[in-house]
Amino acid sequence: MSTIGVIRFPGTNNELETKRSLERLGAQAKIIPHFKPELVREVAALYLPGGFSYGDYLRPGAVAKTTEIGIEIVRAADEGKPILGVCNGFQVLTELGLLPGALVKNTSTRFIAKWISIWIERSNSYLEDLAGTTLSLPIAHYSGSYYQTKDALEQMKQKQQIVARYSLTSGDVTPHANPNGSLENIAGIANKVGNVIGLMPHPERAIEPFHRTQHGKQIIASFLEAIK
Amino acid sequence: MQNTPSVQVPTNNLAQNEEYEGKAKIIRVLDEQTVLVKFKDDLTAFDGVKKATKKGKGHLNAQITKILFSYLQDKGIPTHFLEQLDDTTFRARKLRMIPVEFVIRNYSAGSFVRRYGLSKGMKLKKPILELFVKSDALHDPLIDPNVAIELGFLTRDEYEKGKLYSYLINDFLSQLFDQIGLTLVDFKLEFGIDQEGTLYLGDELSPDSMRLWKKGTQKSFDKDVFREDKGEVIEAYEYVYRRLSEINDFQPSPPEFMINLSIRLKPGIVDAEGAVVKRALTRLGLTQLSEARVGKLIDLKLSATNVLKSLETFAVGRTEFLINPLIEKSEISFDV
Amino acid sequence: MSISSEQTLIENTLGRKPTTSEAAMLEVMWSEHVSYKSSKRWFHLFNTESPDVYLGIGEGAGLIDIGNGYVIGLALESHNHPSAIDPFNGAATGVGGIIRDILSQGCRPIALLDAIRFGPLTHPRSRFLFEQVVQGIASYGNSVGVPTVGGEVEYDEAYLGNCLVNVMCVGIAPKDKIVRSIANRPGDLFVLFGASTGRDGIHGVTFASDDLAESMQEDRGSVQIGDPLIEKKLIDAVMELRDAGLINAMQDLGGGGLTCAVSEMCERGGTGCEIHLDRIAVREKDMEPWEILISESQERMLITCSPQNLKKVKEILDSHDLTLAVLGSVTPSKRFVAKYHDSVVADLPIDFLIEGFEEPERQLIPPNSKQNVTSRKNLFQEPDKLADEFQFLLSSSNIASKRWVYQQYDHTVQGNTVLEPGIGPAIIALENGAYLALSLDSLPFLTSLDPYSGAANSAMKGIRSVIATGAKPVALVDNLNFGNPEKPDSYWEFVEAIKGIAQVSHDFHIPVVGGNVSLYNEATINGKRSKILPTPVIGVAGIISSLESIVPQVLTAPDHLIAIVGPPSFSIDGSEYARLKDIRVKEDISYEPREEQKSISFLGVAQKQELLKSCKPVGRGGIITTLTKMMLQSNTGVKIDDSPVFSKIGFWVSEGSARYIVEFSRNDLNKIQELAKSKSVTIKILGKTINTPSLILSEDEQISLQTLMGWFETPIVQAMEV
Repeated sequence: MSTIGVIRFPGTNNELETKRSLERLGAQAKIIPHFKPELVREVAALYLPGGFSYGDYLRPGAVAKTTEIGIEIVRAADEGKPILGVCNGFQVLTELGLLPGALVKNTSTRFIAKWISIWIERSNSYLEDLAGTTLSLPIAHYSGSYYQTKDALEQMKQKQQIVARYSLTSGDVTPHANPNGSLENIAGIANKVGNVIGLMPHPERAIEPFHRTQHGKQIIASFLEAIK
Repeated sequence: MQNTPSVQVPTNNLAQNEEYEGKAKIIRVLDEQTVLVKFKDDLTAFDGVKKATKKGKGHLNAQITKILFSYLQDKGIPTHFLEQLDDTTFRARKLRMIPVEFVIRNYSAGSFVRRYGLSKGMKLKKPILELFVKSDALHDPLIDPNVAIELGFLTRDEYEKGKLYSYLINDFLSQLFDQIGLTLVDFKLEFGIDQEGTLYLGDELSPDSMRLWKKGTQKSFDKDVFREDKGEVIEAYEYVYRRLSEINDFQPSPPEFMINLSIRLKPGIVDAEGAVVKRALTRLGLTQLSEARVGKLIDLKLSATNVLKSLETFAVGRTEFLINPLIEKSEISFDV
Repeated sequence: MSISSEQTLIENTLGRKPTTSEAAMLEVMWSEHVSYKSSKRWFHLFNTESPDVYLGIGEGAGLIDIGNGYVIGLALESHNHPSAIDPFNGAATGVGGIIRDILSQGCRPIALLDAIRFGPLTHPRSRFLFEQVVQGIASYGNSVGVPTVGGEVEYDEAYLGNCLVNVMCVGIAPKDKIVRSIANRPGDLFVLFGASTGRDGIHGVTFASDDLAESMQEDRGSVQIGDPLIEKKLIDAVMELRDAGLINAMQDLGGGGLTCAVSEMCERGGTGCEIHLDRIAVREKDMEPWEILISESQERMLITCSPQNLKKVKEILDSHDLTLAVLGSVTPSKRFVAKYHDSVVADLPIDFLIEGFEEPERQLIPPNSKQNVTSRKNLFQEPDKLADEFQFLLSSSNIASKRWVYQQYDHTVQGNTVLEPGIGPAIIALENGAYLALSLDSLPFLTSLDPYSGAANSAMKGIRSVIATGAKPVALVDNLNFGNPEKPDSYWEFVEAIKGIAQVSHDFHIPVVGGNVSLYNEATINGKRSKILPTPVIGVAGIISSLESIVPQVLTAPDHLIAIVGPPSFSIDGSEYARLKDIRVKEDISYEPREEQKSISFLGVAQKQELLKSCKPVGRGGIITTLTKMMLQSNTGVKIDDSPVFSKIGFWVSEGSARYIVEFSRNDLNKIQELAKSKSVTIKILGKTINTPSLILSEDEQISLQTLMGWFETPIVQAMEV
């Protein structure tokens, strides 16, 4: 079985539970610290976990793009390796230019930590097999409000790049279900090819029997499926 | 619509092979990118009221300008000088000249003394930058930078960069002239923009455009000799040229400068922090507050070893890293 | 002891005048904050032992053996004064400091809890402090990746002048990876790493032991600024150094800075040091040696390592982008020798530095507060409608939901959170397969009326809530926030509270393994003395062996019976309800270890026999509050039985001790009653759970859960988001 690299920048802080959740689903995972960019080439897929890479200084995810490992991540994406960026990992992927749009501060102006639901869309990505399901997952972020220009968003829709939207538990996507002011309730997107996905909610925190749900398993299983 | 001062700077609109003859130089357009600059032997003062022709002056000014421009270019200050063609002529970049002169003063002298009723030769605490409109008809009036920007004589970015270059040039030239026992009292710079929008130092750098005093005295080695009939002007210019050409590979200690970048969220992007600040200030009683937006300020301190390269690298970092152009806009200012 | 007599003591002992550096070091080390010179003499009252105690009071954290080769570390500390001056940074650095305490024992930090207290939210300044403190905690804790899983928030006029910020951190480590703070190997090198050293916090220690003056603004320079990014790097690097076995001893730099860390490590090891201050990376070029010695700049750790390991230590720190300085070495001299560019700036006997001061005399006098209250019946009347009183209580700021607060804290990071904030004590999963229940509680209003019983019940409150989940309490930590110890009434309150906590620790065999004392929480505002309520904040840790043994804190299903276990109580003395009605009577306030024990042993058996569907102790705000929380979280209604007892407001709002609300199946009624009988515990059936989302009090009075939710959930949000 091929190995998944869990990228740890200075300030990343979800790496341990991410590694553990991948292992729970039978995958091999190893943490790749920022100072070992060469390891990125040795793994089959990348999981960019949450946290505050480089302290979220300047903008969340911004500093990561000035690093060697940032360049390696771009290379891995270009090679078609499956990549999943969660929370700060999503922010890093947008800053690296691997995903379109930007994540700005929550409209509530505050950090939000709570359980939400997302509706999985039909998309061009490796989460396509989950389309039509509603998952309950935790969010925990300051800057999770997705922003994109109108035209660019239209293009993304045409290319089926919208992966998940915040919804009620029923799966209805309503303004009330939007926790952070994201454009059209967007909670996750993919790149044009579909091998790179960014998600604000945390699948790795909904895995264990003691978690409120185990819905994160489905996302991670689909991610693992994409490697095969 | 851009305003222009009452006297146009004709070189801006010249077609190929057209010529413009100014008081001290002739400029001929060679092609889209380049011009030929020929230095004349004519000397004028007091807006052309006092005139003379001094043989060899054109040659000396061409040589001094070449030395000073090369020296500055080496430090990363972009100038329009490209190559010397003969004794009095060099090839230069074709620029759209900014109709405003930048004057830096280290000591009180000339119009500065008359305007403010100061005694001549007073060392200023910090170098002072003044802007003047280029217009003989109006007698080159002093202009406030904000007014110059508002009237469209130059953009804020051009002003900021011109200001930075002016101060750095002052530092570099002061150190250089100090080597030959001269004090740089004040000087005038003209900037222009090439087709790609890059700001260059144009015109000339010679005793025509600066005041040089023998160190510790007020003995002039510049056009004041002619203005005030204080002796043989050519001898003074010759002295400056000879001493400058004797200097071998002088390395000044590089001054430091600051880049101040202010970053704001674009209008329309929700500013969460601004909303928090607004709420807090309202709680503290500032009920009149209708909007608060919070930006970022990034202060960078650099050593001016290669200014142009620093600015070019910074420009890349600015758009590709420091700001996210999708959601942010930025403004730059410099400080020395 | 006056300043001048301390001066004489120093000169007589040294046989010379102290150098500037020495004077600064002594001042800092002998301050109340570092020396505990008013409080330490009472610590012997605590029970500090149990078979599980691996390391008790005395280093960065108390360590408890939890089996399977693991220990947990517990630490609790206040950051009151810094937070009053700069609430955001004060609270943030409070979080950073306590995390490093845990880290200093080689433990990975796994949970944070915060107990924070402010003036009423009707005051703009209180709202400002509250908002900033919460954001400071969130900013630091969230960034560093340690979940904030619990705590408490309280508002009272008494905290207007002095807000309280107490932070607890829990860590875990394999037993064989534990690091001690003992520099016992002469020749070892002192390596300082992390943030650079600046002037922040200089004299922070000393001013923390002074009455907080009105000129708060001028003190701003004393507050430290935190950098959670460096802190996360410290955690990563320390774990790597620890696993590689490169650390011989470790301590974080907290109050008293380098002076305190080095001298304490040497004192424990019976050694001394020779350190070179010029090797430290400073933020400002012109820093004086004495400033470097006592700087409280954040995010700095000090280790000792063998000289042959230095290269490996450097490699690891380099890879984490952390700067380090090799300060010097451990010596056998028992002296603190500090040099600056080869000249000696300090040379002090370490024992003198640590305990050379003379204990100040302190007087204990109970306050003269005879209240002219004959009957509290005159003070309030039975209401016509219970619902009105319920609304009054549930929507009061101390009872209302703190969701606005904990939703700003990342409580699920690390992926181990089982029970999230807002429900009961926090529960997190541990690496050894067990589960850890954590609470952080205090009952200041009760303590202000009766410091001994109030403090004891503060401890019991946490113990009850941990026990209700099915956990076995294994350790206590305390944070004693009191007024000026030089004032006999404040000091009396302090000592009474210690006695109360100590009694609990003995009665229930739960060791006190750590804590912190914050005195001088008094301010003089407009010439008026304003002191905080005596606030003994108690952290309790309990272990649950398996996921199946965790008892839910919320109602589980309709048609179950609900009962109150424990001594009936109708007294409102010391309750939140009484505080709201401004009734300050202490007649019925007491600490009842026998009753507590009876209820606990009832629960123990009931849990073992799996009779309890859910269980929650009657806490602040009485039965109505506890029941409301149990209903709202599960959206299950309750129908109250018909009984005249249940129409008395006292029944609903009394906070009488040793009581629990339990939910069980009708089929188990007999077993429950028999068990109660055998344990001599009173059990009173309250009613039953129902499908209708309402609290049905009687045929004419019912309140929908929607309504309860509105009362309970909106007040704090409304106060803060308008």
